[in-house]
Amino acid sequence: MIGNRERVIDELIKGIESGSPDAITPRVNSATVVRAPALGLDSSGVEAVRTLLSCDPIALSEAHCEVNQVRELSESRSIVEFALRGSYSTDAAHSIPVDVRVDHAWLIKEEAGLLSQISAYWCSNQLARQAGSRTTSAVEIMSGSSI
Amino acid sequence: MTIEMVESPIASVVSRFFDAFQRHDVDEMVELCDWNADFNYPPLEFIGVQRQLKAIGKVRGVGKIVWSGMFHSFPNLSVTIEQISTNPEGFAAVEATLSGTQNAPWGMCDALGRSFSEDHLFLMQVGPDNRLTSLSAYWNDGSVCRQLGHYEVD
Repeated sequence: MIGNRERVIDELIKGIESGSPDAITPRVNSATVVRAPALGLDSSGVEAVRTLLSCDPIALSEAHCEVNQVRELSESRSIVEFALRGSYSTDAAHSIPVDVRVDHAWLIKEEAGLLSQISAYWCSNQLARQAGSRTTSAVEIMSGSSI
Repeated sequence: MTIEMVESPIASVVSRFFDAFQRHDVDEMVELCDWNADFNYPPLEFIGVQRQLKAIGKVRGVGKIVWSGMFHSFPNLSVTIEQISTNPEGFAAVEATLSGTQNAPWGMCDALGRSFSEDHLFLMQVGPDNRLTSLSAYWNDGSVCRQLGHYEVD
């Protein structure tokens, strides 16, 4: 039998892979805290979750999560460590899409079937390096967001 | 009535590790790890002309080198623990903020005397003998580089 925590994690990963925040929005509410240092994101609510899941570094074409480990922790927290693979292009530069693989670790908290916290960690330089960008600021300008 | 505060052995090991980190005591940090403990800092990549070096390996190998280099380049490097979450299997997740001022070259970053402050997530596994058997860390190294005044990816 699958518990709430496993179900929420599964839906979150599906939301990442589908590039559709809608997959996970039933599991979030106005109190869901979202932190993503690579985006400068520290907010809460459904829109914050949408911002996270629809940002360029997450919403890769043909996104696929290679889950390394899922660990349950105290107080309904879990760690999901995964590599996000997909195709990335900086459209403004008319660049050719390249296959990228970026290491992620997300700390999530589930309460009564809802996500109450997502803290998402990855490195913007890891993506920029694979995308062939020379400067981090150039990638931010081209993608329209901070990665 | 006496209330006894008992810290779990796992949290105790993690706390001791970060106490040593705060004192820049690399030898003690290493001593708190199993002799074959794994080390994995995915954001840390050093790009050379002919090869790419990743900070993945063993604590007693690449880990010791990384920590020694960090403390040398950032003599006032400081860690502030925000939260420690553990489980009975010895796994710990630590949310922390690292901050410091650069005093010597670090990776591809020349020393411009600038400071950084960046959120980190450490994932640690504590073994049966209360020593760390693996340690990983995640953070946005792009932000660290920008704060230090280095805008090139490599």
